[in-house]
Amino acid sequence: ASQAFASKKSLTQLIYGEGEKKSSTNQESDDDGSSSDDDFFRVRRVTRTDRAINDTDSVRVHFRDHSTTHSGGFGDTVEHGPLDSRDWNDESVIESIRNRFVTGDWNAENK
Amino acid sequence: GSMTAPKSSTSGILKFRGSQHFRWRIIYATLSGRSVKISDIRALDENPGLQEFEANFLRLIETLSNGSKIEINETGTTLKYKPGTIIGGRRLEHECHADRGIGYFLEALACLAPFSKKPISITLSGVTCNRLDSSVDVFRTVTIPLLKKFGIEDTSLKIIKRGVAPLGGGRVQFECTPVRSLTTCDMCDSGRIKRVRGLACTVRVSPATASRLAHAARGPLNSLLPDVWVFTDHTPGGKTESSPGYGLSLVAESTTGCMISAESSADGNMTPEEMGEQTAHVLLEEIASGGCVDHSHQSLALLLMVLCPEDVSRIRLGKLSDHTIGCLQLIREFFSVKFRIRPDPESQSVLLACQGIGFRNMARQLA
Repeated sequence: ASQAFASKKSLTQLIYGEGEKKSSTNQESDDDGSSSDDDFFRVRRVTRTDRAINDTDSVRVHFRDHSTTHSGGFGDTVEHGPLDSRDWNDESVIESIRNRFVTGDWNAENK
Repeated sequence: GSMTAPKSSTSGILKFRGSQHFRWRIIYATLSGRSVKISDIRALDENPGLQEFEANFLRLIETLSNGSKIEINETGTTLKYKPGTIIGGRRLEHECHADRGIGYFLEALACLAPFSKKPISITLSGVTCNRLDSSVDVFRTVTIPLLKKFGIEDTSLKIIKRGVAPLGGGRVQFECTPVRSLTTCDMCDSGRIKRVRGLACTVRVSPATASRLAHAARGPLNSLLPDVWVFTDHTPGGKTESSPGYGLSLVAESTTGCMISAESSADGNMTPEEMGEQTAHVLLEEIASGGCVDHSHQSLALLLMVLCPEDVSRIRLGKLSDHTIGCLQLIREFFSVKFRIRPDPESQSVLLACQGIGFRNMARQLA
């Protein structure tokens, strides 16, 4: 859990980048002739999305088999590529989410 | 145009590289009224440029709108898009490219149709379920109820005929009455799952496959919940020119009205038993991640929150997918909206909040 707390800041940073990102890089006027020189000398920030191998533009998420599971890093709230799956054949894993169902213990803390 | 959001910083063309989030860039451009230029689209690929399904998607955008301008270079690696006004209309038709499911196109309609000038009634033909895209069934049972939560009340999807790739041949009819503005939504309580409903569809395979799927899916779920019901829907060979195939979708409904889905469709290496069980496991994974919407609805929910009136909308999501993170970044560029993002250390879910831009459907108001 301490790892998750530590990630509190980094989650926002991971998504939006550090500090104030100039929005101007993407917003030059199309017919701005002077921009090409600037472009040449500018080190392009390759965004994570541009590096992504998967370009299917699909909203469906695929889960990685639990046997190959590894820790995601950012308090497990963000993962790259397919998301890790728990081992749902394991009785104790099933039990761990019982309170997400109406059949669970209503006195137990749910959140 | 008259559709643009009341934002001062809507000038200037947005530039992107690569093919990622193609559909979403076009959707955001259309709703924000901002022009985009996308270059280096699969420039180094052996099959460079826009794919046929993407060109096909752009034709759908042209069908829906008036005054949009699309320029594509010879190799298809550069696209310029100047959005027009979403006009809509009745008796529209679109033949969806069979590389993608009809769901790929419906997801865009869910974002755009509510902000159309005129009511939309469109018939889409193609592939009703595949491995890549949301099925038409999940659109009907999960996406449409999600739209309702944002005040988009009058939307429907009628599944006329089923069809799977490569031949497709499925047919659906989508209808939507546009809204003036959205209703701010607060979705932080994921509640507890009270029932699971499913649908096993078979097309030109043995109808027994559907009951095998249903039986296998119930197994892992029944140990947690008695109220699990999987319906079957069989399309025999005589009724369709589609290729053979099958699919399974499962939807869990919570005490707070959250709908969480998981689905899969025929994979050559998987028996119906394996597929049924695996889909149930994905549903459990979605439930465990604690979001108020499932992963495939993260980006739609976030977009609608941005378009809400100038109030704070909040939502609880499971782990953010790569796709969702890309959408959050694009939303900031197109709408200048940055979400407040706070991981919930106990449940591993994430709370996101943003102030809506107060999007008004000006086109409809003038109509």
